Amino acid sequence: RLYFALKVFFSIFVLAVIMLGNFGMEWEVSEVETGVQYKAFHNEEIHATIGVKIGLRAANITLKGTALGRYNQTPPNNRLCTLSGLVNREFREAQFKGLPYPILWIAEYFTLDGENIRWGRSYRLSGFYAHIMLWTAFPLWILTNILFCMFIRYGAYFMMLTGGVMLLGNILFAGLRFGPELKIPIGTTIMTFHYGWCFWLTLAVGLICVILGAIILFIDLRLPD
Amino acid sequence: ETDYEVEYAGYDGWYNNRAHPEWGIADSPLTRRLPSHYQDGTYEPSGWDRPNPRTLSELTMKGVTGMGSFRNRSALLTFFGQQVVEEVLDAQRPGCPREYFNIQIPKGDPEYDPDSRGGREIPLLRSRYDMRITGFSPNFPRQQLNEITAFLDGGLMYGVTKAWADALRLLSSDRRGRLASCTDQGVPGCVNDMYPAYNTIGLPMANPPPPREHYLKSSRRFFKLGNPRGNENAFLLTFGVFWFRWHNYLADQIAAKNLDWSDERVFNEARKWVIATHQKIVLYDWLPDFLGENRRPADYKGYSSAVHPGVTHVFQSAAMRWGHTIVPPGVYRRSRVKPDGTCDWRNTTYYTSPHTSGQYFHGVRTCNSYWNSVEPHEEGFKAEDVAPFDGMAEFLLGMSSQVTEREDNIITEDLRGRVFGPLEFSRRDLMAINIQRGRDHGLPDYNTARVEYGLPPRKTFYDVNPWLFNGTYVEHGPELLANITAFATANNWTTDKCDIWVCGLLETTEAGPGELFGAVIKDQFERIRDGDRFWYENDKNGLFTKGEIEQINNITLFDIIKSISNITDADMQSNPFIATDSPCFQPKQLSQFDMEPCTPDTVDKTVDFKRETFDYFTGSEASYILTFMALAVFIIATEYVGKKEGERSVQVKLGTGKEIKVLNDRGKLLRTIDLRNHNQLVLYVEADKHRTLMAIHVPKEYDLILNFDYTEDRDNALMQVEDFLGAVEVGRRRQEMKSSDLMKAIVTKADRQKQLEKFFRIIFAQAGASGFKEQNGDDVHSGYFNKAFKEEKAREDISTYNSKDAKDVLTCELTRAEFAESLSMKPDSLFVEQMFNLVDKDGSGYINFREFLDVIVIFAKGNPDEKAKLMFDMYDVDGDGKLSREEFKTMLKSMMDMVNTEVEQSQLDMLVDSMMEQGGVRDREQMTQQDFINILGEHKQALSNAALNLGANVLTPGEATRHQTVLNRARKTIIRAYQPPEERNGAASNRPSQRVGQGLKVDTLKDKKYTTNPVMKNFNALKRYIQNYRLHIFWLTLYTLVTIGIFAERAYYYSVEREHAGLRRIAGYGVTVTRGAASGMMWAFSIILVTMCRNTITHMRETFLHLYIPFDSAITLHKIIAMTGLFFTVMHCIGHAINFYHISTQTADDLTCLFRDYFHYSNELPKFHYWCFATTTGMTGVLLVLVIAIMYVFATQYARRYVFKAFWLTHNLYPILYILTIVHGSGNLVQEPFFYYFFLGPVILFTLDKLVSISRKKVEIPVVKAEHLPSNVTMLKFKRPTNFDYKSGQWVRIASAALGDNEYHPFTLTSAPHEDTLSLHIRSVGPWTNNLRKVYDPAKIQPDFGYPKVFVDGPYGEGHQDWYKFPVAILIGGGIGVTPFAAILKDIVQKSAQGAKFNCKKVYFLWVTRTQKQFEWLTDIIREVEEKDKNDLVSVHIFITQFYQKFDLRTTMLYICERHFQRISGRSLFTGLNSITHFGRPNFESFFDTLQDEHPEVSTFGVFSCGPPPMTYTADKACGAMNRVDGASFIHHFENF
Ligand SMILES: Cc1cc2nc3c(=O)[nH]c(=O)nc-3n(C[C@H](O)[C@H](O)[C@H](O)COP(=O)(O)OP(=O)(O)OC[C@H]3O[C@@H](n4cnc5c(N)ncnc54)[C@H](O)[C@@H]3O)c2cc1C
Ligand code: HEM
Ligand code: HEM
Repeated sequence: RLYFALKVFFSIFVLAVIMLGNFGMEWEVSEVETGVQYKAFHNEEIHATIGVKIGLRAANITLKGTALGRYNQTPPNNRLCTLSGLVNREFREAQFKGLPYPILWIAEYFTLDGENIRWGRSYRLSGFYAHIMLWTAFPLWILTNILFCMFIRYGAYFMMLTGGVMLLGNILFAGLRFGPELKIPIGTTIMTFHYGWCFWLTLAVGLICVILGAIILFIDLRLPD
Repeated sequence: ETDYEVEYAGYDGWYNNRAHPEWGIADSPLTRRLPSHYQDGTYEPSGWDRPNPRTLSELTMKGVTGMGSFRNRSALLTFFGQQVVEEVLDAQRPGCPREYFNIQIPKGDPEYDPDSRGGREIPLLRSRYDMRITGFSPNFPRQQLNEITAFLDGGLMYGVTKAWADALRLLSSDRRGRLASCTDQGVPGCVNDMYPAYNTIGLPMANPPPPREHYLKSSRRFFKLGNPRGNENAFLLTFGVFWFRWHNYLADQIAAKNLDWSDERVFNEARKWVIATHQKIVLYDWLPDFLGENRRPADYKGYSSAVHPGVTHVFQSAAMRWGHTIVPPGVYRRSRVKPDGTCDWRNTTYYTSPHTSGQYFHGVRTCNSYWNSVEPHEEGFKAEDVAPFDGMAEFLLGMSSQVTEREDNIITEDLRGRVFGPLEFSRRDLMAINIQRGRDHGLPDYNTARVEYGLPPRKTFYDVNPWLFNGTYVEHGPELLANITAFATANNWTTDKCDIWVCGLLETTEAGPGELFGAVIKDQFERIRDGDRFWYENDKNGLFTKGEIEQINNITLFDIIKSISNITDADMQSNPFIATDSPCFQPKQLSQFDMEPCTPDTVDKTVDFKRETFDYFTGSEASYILTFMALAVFIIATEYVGKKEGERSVQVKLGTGKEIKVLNDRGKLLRTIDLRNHNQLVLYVEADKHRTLMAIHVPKEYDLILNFDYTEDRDNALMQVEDFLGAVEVGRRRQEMKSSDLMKAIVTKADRQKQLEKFFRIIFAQAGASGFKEQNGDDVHSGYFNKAFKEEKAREDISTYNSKDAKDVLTCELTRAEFAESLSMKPDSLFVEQMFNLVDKDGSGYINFREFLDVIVIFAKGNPDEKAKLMFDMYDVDGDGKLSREEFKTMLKSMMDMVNTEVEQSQLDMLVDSMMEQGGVRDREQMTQQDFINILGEHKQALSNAALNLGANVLTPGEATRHQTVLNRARKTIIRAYQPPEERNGAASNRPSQRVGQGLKVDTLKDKKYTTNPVMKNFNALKRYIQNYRLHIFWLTLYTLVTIGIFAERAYYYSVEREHAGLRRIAGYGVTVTRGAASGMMWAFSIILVTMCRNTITHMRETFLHLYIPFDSAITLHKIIAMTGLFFTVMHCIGHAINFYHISTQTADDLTCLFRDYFHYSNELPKFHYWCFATTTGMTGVLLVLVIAIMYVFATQYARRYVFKAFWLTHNLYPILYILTIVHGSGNLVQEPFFYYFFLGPVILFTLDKLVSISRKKVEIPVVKAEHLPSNVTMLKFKRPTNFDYKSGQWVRIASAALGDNEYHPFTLTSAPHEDTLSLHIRSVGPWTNNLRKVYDPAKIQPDFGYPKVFVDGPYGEGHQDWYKFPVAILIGGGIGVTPFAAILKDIVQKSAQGAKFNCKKVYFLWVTRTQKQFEWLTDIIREVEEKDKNDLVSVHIFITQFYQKFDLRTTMLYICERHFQRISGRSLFTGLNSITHFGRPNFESFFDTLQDEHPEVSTFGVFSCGPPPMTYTADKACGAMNRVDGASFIHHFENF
């Protein structure tokens, strides 16, 4: 019973992780708190928390700030999702909408696309391949589950394959980069990026799958029953 | 000094204007003040009615440099001007897709076309424009874009995005607010932060190829600047360095004063001041000196939010380019003023001009510094043989003391002819470009522009500038006017057709730009100032205090120079824009002759193009050729066979020995020309038309007519043939002839065939005439034989042929090969050899009409003695009229050998003994002819029926169908006579073994049954065909339509909807083809999986769906789909061969346009191999081609037959194929990947299906019994797994635990469904089956372990399950293909014994096998069937195909032997079985024919065949033939293995 429940739980857990990884926005993250110019036609700076979350297909830029003191304005629209192939158009739209400066400045980084400065493209590409890997892992995991019901050894193989593909997703995400590392000076600080929980979770579960698969395979080969 | 928070100006110009946040922003349309004159009102360039730009450039702007400015404007003013341009305007980027608007070079142009070839062009791309809304309709014509902000807002120093600015910054808390310097980067020699950092991080700076060297260099060599074009030339770069230093100077000052300020704040403050000082200097110091004193900008009245700062087209394309006229051919560098009041003028280190003859007034040559701008600056801190110096300061000093080029119409050659260009055209004419650019932007003519700016139009060219043309001030003025007027009258050119640039420039006076340009420029800068909220004088923006504004107004360029370098008041005049007061005035006005020439100019070349070109395909050739070579298919030649038959591709093999072999393209031998019979051959050679034909005329045979693709190939082959003939000592004569004559002269294969046809027809007619005796009833068959030929004779007599035909036939001679072919035997068999020698009485090596007739007559006459004699003679090798016992044995043996029959020596001995005993020659060693006839004894009669059966291939269906039929019928009659002698005697017809004959009673010929009308016949055939295959046809049509649709959709999209897109433009229909084919492939390779969903198919065919879907044809469909896939793959590859060629010839920049997802460094040129091997798409593409090639090669019939393992191994590459396909598309090169739309459905179905197989497969099943049967057949009996339901005729795939549990092989179940165990009969044919036999060896079985277990996957269904649905089923098993029938037969018998009711009334089982050996193991089953079959349901026929038809001369002997043996041993010599054995291949057609008579009430016969493809094929053809006539239809199911 317990064993069965555990199995079901694990199965659903891995599936959830694959999907979370696929759609999650926190593959790379950065968050800073800084004093920064908030908007045009205005000379006061605000103190704000600015976060960037990069997923496989999009980057999310958020700005949380204290209301502007003198006028008590609360920022109404404080996020921008970008990174698609149409990043330039999205950016132009955001400019017309008049999003706060910090968001525009950060988003602008993803629009640059020349010579060696192509962060947007770099993230888009690595994200694209990582997301293909995760979409591959998804059916593989379902197959793994089916195979476990039929044939333990194939199940083990596919479990390792699933894990391997997830890890490959991690490797591709981390490895398919070019140009200088992304660092965004904003206000008085510099945003630097590090891997977020999506990355780590996928990595961990990928590893678990490979290791567990190997163990099961080993057991199956040693003790065929 | 500002302590409060400030709203700093943005980088991109946004939100400057409150009401219109987008005014003046980067990347926005230029402002149009003049009416646009686009030719079509919308986007086609203007100026179509104006003269050629290059002509105008030569006419009005040519001249020698070296004249100084009237007002001593300094070179510093010139280049400061250039950087002002770069601050407000950048409209140079070409649009995507590229639109070429090249400038025609007039023929004989001295610079560009010195060899007068004509047709050359200066490449020019039209500018980028706002594609969203402009350029579609006349009310909003095309608007080009300005890449940067129109404001004077520091784009020059910081770039127009914050990210760019960040990339320039040092971002340090120690040295706050600074821009990074090369000192910060640790570049050796770069001390004191004198220069900006190098572009090591790879900012996208403009980076065209430097024309001096003419190759691409890395953009990392540049200094990082805000202005991406800031490295264009060394003097412009001087200002880049200048502003860099000024920023850092200010930052240090501010940081020092405000210790608590952050880096960010210091930076912003410094930037604010840099921008403000720049604004001040541009507007109030530089502009007045540039435009002339009287055009000082109006006083500042404060910020006006209603003023649009946008840069106008006329400013961009014409007015501001006025600066070009004052660009000098080079620039001086000098030291500071030395104590003695002089200064040192620095020489350049480049080569010395041949013009200067040792006089060195060297400046840095403008044209050679393009994109090599950093070098002279680096010289200051990097060069080893020079004392370090401040390069920027030396340039500033030099430029300030240099009087720049004169304000006039003359443009220095550095711009007018030697400005940089792309690789394919290294040096262009900037003046022609200026004109063309104006037209690109749709600028109107000069007078329209003047009127718009409130100026009076100019009627004549003289009116444009009387000052210039009267010669008082400018010496060349009158001459210029004369030239212009002359040209104008000649070409009907007026000032109304004058480009703004041309006439605007002609307005130039000593004061500066003329009225029009002056007005345009002044207006522009005033608007830029007034419309800028962040203008430094605007006291409402909170940037500066009043005092600060005052302070800024007092800062001059000279002040800044002093603060950022060690230049002092003594070194430079206070207004560096005017050289007059320079403390160290230029030694000489620089002229182009004082400096080295612009590369690649050389002085003494007679024809000098003065520019370099480049073919982008350079470097691609090798990889291109190598890559596509591997894909090329070689066709050695095509053989012309006949007018109707057309051509076929063949390989001609010369030698070995004295023969020429003709092989088909798969290497199968088609023909051998034996040269031993020939002394001389004639070679016909086509001498006119295509000159690709040649023919080898072979007398008495047909000619070898070869057609080649190219004359060279033909000539090559001709030479080889001649050499070869020489080598084998055959004479040869070459005969060149006209194409038409050649066609007349040659004898084609078809001709020859026709001739042979005639030959045989006449032979038979003649033989008939020479006397068939009417024979009585019991000799039915020969009666028909006879009658047939009599009819024949009645219709055809040799006399009916005209004399030429008759002569042809009479002189026609058969070759050995043709003779063998007529007997359907190999030419090298002993029988043919002996027969041929016998027939060929004159020993000529050919059989002529007479000789052949003689033999035929013997057969036709039917005298057994004569026939016996014939045979006797044949084997009486020594010709002594006696046949020894040994010779007799040889005779029997040779006949058996001929059919690969092995009879044991003892059996043979026994047979010979018994026969000789019967003939009464028991003790004698020799026998006479009479003895021989005696031996034949009672079987002599059989011999009398012996004919020489002529293979069908002699007579191909030709025009003479009528005669053919007769012949066919005759042959059919012979073949039909299957009746054993007993039968003919009317005895014992109820013996089981003879039931055979009942159904096959030979009947009268039913001529009436056959429609003779060929149209009706074909119609019937078609009708029947459609009836039988309507489902197949439907599905195949559907599939084809869908495939075509999928192809067409993309093809249409790319050829029509994307007609104007870049890639389509460049690669033409290549894109259409490749994209269409790509979709086709995706579809084919996806849907192909569906055909391999075996479980689904097996399951579905048992549902009602099988009525609508022919599931059994899954594998056929698989192959068809595979072929479509291959077709599209090849198409795709060929398309790409074209595309890649086109792509490889494009400039690298243009490609980024085509492939949005492709990018490259500005110094890289992607070559063909780059596309092919270094892009994801290219590389996976190449791999895909490899994988597909492997898969297909090993999927050929041939490979599957001979290297099945390899087939299966390579076939399992399919997952790789799919992975590669997905990756291939993910490159995104042309379109978003959409393979998965096609793929997802099929792959899910396939996977699920596969899962079912896997779940089934791994059931281990113990083997109960294994048996080694004769002829390498192994019988396996194993437990029937629970729930294993199957039907007879189904098959399973098994693997053996001992042989690897992954290798599955299909075998048909030979057990019937009612049995408790499953059994298989497995013949050892290859490695796996052989090993299986070894493993399951009952002799070696270890008692403890039992047999290794097997894995069973299945059952899988085949069409043979349907036998019971037909009233009459004909089961045809060939070779091991009998296995399904073994099960079916058992099943039938079982069912019928139980009295089960089913449709089936009669089952014919035809067992066709090559040798009798294969019978052994099945004998039991057949016997069992025969015994159990009480209801007379099954009738068994056995055919041994090695033996020819029974009444053939050869088999007659064997037949006689067989009878003998049967009598003495009670069983068949060959089969050992009760049933009667037929010798030879079954003639299905006549068999079916008689079946129809036997079962007149049956309308549909089910024919099930299983075995080797040729057999199933003939069965299929026979069914087809039967369906061609009215009557019952024959539905054929078959399976090959
Ligand atoms: C539906 C079906 C039913 C068959 N039933 C029988 C049977 O009842 N008795 C019997 O003796 N043979 C049967 N065969 C043929 C049998 O599968 C092959 O002879 C056997 O697999 C040969 O394997 P091998 O490695 O020893 O020989 P190889 O030398 O590798 O192959 C010899 C020939 O067998 C064919 N073959 C080999 N492997 C396979 C395979 N996995 N699937 C299909 N064809 C293969 C190849 O086309 C080749 O022409 C059947 C084949 C099919 C397709
Ligand atoms: C060595 C010096 C110079 C060189 C090599 C040079 C070269 C060029 C070139 C190649 C172009 C692009 C032409 C086109 O494609 O439309 C151009 C444009 C232009 N030039 Fe110059 N130029 C020089 C100096 C100057 C000076 C001194 C001025 C004015 C003071 C000037 C004003 C302009 C203007 C206004 C344009 C149009 C810019 C644009 O469309 O972005 N140039 N120049
Ligand atoms: C000329 C080309 C091809 C031929 C003649 C061919 C023939 C065959 C045959 C005979 C089989 C075995 C059928 C059986 O055992 O029941 C097979 C299986 C298969 N083929 Fe093909 N094939 C061809 C091309 C392709 C291609 C291009 C693909 C797709 C990528 C493909 C995919 C498959 C798959 C997936 C199987 C099933 C394999 C399995 O069951 O493990 N084939 N093919």
